[in-house]
This record gives sequence, structure tokens and C-alpha cells, in this order.
Amino acid sequence: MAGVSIRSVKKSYGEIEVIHGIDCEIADGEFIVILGPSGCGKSTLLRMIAGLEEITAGEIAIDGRVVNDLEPKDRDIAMVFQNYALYPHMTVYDNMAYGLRIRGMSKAEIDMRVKKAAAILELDGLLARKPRQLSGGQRQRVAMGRALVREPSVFLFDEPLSNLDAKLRVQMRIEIRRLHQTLKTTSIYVTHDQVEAMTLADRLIVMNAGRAEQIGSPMEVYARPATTFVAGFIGSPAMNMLPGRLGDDGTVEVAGVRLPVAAPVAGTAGRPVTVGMRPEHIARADQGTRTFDLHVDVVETLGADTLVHGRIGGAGNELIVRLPGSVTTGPGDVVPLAVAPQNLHLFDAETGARL
Amino acid sequence: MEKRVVFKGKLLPYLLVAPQIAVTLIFFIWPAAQALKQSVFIEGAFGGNAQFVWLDNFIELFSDPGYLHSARVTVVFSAAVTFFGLAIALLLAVMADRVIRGATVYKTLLIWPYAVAPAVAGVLWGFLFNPTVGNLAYILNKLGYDWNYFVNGGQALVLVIIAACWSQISYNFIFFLAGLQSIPRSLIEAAAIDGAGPGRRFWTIVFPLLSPTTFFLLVVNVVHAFFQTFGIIHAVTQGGPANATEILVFKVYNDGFRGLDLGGSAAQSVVLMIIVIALTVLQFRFIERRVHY
Repeated sequence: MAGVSIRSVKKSYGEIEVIHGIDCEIADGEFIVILGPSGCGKSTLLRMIAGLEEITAGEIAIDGRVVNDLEPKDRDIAMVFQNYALYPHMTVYDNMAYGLRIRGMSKAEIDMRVKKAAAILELDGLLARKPRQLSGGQRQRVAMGRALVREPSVFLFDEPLSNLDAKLRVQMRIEIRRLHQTLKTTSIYVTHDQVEAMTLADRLIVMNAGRAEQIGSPMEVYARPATTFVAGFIGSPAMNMLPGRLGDDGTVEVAGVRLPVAAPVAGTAGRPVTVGMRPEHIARADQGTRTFDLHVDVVETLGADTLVHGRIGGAGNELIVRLPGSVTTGPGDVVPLAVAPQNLHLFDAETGARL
Repeated sequence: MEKRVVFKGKLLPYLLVAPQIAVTLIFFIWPAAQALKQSVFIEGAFGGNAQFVWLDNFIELFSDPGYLHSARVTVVFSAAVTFFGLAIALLLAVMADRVIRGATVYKTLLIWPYAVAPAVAGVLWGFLFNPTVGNLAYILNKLGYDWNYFVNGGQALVLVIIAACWSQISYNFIFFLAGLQSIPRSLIEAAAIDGAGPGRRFWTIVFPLLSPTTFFLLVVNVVHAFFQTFGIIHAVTQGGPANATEILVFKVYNDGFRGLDLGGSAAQSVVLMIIVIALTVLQFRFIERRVHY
């Protein structure tokens, strides 16, 4: 087991820099999820840790040892690939034993480890099969098994669940979490799925366009997003972002409505800001407590919740609100709403940074 | 999903396949039937007075030391052409697969030799190795090696093997490269993380995954060496010296059109025909089983 240090790591392909310097200290036994949209450089970062991509600048250290110039096999890591990368001409057993045989382990030891991993992953009856005779979920397990038997100090996962159907994905997600709770091996997991990220991670690295926008626990990232990008990326439906202006008395003006802010922000009155409100933090209000009205366009009934899409103030200010399923409303209605001051997120209108 | 077109009448589908059938009948089936027929006759050197002799032509063939010698030459020749053709092509393909800069130029140049007709390839290599004017022969002689394929049977065989390999390498190269490129990169990466070095990755992952391609090429190359190298032999050595490069297909021509032993030559053709049918059957059987691993 080991920690991983990422120090100002950069990656360029020729002239084009795709990762602009990332710093992160990953503690021993931590489960880190790198989250971001496709093309943000998250897989590239993982592949640099694995040794499959060269590190253009900066340093990566595993267990205190700088690994920049080490071959993947010397880094004491194991990786689970998105397409599983199982050896199609080998049985499940041989797939798992391949790495151990290369390391010259004894037959008995190999057999013991493979059987043990197979038992954990419920692959017992499948050891003699070829990958093509397995279902997607089983292949996924074999890919995990191949990483498990190596007993590496770091597990790397490159979007391992994205080829599975929705139900299996949920199931495997829980299994990966359970596995990590038992083994406590440092894990780095790349995904574009925010639910996976939130449920698995001890800490998240939210990436966008080659930069780490925010590094923090899932709750921190949800409660105090560092930028508008993070705010919009985490949470479903996405956070409402409306243009607004700072008022002079600790308020902010959005769509013609004045809202009180919990913590006063520096800056002169009239400074343009972006105001974020999560759909689940906006509540239906009585006439007395209401702060603004929503003109309803579309209603999506989900059972437990009802998503209400509508406009406030001018035509451009669209808003989504998550209300309890018991609320009945329809297009054309006007719903009075309120939002607590501590649930308002203020961002700089230009840089998108949290204020 | 299979797409099926259903025709209403019977006339149109027959009309559509008619040209193909006609070509096959006139250029393949008819000559083959003629060869079969001729192989059981003995005919006069100037035609006419054909005599039906059952399988005497075949019996004579297999008791003829010249024919058995030719068969041995053919086995050596085709084994060498196939082995070196595949091995060198595979080596080049593996290297081309790693080339990033100028890959297209490199690949295109490697494919060119296939466009050279076998007879021309033969002349070209024959010229390079010509004991009196050839550059390579000059170098060999300078190095103290006594090179003269006009008199040395072994050297002549090596020369025709080189010439036959040369154009075949391009063909094999294309298939190997395509095969290599269809192997997912992540498999190689997974093996690298599992601790396998480049050599081990090749022999335990890449080569087994290429096996359907390799087997297909094996059959195609054997067939090529058996049948399509006539032009090379004819242009370079004429089967000589002292029949050292007389492969079966060349002997068919030599005995039939020079020796005018039409019956014996036809019998030899029939033997070759049986070999090629066997190879084809083998290929279809095997490939059908192995194509999905």
C-alpha cells in the first residue's frame, strides 16, 4: 500500500498542452475519483500515473518513489480498463494468472491467489471459460480479478463501468466500494459519471480542460463548489445559474428580485455576479415568505420528486426546481418560491470563481 | 443481421449469375476437365492417335525419380518461400506498426513490390545476382564467395527463393499490419502493466491473436509458391541448373510443352489440382473454426 503524489504534472502532445499542471497528495488507502467531461484530460492523468503516457513536466511519486522514468510493470500498480482488455485467447484463470506467472510466482501461490480473487468476485464457476463466453458484468469482474491477484499498492480504474447497463453499473459500483473497504488499497478511479464519483470517492478531483477545478470530499464539492464549472457539473439536475448584481446592503439582485446573502461578499455594489441555486434547495413558499414567483413551463413527475421548469422575471431567466412529489402544478401556473440565504452560491461573473 | 433479397421470378437471378458461371465454366471447369481426360491418355508427339491407358501415366509418374526429385525441390522451395515470406513480413509489420512519423510513406513503399509482376521480379533479381554483370554477385565475389547460379544448383534455388519471397512479403505485410492494427491497444497496455516486456507481449498476446491471419497467409503463400512462381523460375533459371530449381508446376510445362508428353504432363496437373483442393478445404475448415477466438 502506498500514497501517490502528483506534483505540478503537465502533459503536452507536441505543441499542444493538454494538462496544465496538477497537484494532489493522495493518502495511503484513499479512494480518489477523477471526475470530468470527456476530453478534460482525466484519462491522460491516470495513464501518466500508470506509466502508459510520458510525463511532460512535473513529478509523480508512488510510495515516496518518483516513478517518472519507471516502466508500468515496475510501478507496483494494477489497472482496470474501460474495455476490460481481457486476453481473448486465454481462459479466465489464465487471464488472472498471466501477470503472476511473468513475475515467476510458484504454481501453488498463483493458484491460491487466483482462487481467492475468484471467490471474492464470485467467479468460481467461470475459471475455465474464455472471455467471449462471459457476460459484460462477468468480464468486468475478471478485469477486476486480474488487478486483485497482483495485490498492488495502487489500483487504477479507467471508466470501468461505462460499458455496463444501468442496473449492473449500480451493482458493480457498490461492489467496488465494498472491495475497497475490505482491502483498503489506494485507488484512483476515472469517470465522467457524477453519481459514481460522489458515491465512491473519499475525495474528488474535478477536472476541466486540463485543470483541476476543485479537489475535495464529495460533500465539500457539492456544498461549496469552487467554480461555476464544478457547480454545474455536480448535482442533478444541474445548479441554476442566473446573472445578477451585488446590492449595497448584503443582498444580491437576480431577475429583479432582491435576495439576502448569508455571508457578505467583498466588492462594490453593482458588481456583476453569477448566482447559483440548486434545484433541491429551492422550496415552495407561502405568500408571506415568498421571495420570487416561478411561471411554470414544463412539469416532470418522477414520483418521489417533481421537477418544475419555468421562468422567473425576464424571459431569459430559466429555472429548474425540485419539489416534493406531493406538489401538484401544471404549465401556466405561478408558484411562489423561497431560497435560504445560505443556499445561494455567488461566483465572479467573469472568472467563474467562487466569491 | 443478414439481408436477403427475394426475387419474384426465376429468370432474373439466373441471368445475373450467368456471366460468372460462364467464365467459370469456360476458363476453369472445361480446362480442368480436359486435363483430367488427357491424364488417362497417351498421345503422339504430333497429336492424334490418342490411346486410353487407364492410370498408367500416374503410375509412371510416381516411379519416375525425376518427378520425385522435383517434388522434393518443390517442398524445400515452398517451405522456404512461405517461412521467410511470413517471417520477414511479420517483422516489417511489427516495426511499421510502431512507426509514427512518415508511416504512410513507409507503408506505401513496402507495398510496392507486390505491383511488380513475378516474371519481372525474377528478371530483376536474376540481373542483380548475375555472375558477370550483377551488383550483388560482384559484392559476393569480392567477399570471397564463389557465386555463380548458372552452375551451382543450391545457389540457383536460393536465388529463386529470394525472388519469390520478395513480392510475397508485400502481400503478407498488408495482412499482418491490418491484423496488428485490429488488436486493441489496451490489451498490449494491460500486458505491459502485468509485467510483460516487449518480446513476451509479442509471443504471448500479439502472436496468438494474429494466428487466424497467419494461418490464412500460410495457405495463400504455399499456394503461391506452388503455382504462381512459374514466371520467376521461367525467367531466371528455366528449372536448371540440372533441374535444381525445377518445381512441380515448371515440370508440368517442361514435360508438356517441351517434352511433348501431354499425358504425363496432364497427370502432373491433376496431382497439383488435388493438392490445391486439399489446401483450400483445409483453409476453410480451419478458418471457420478459428476466426472467432
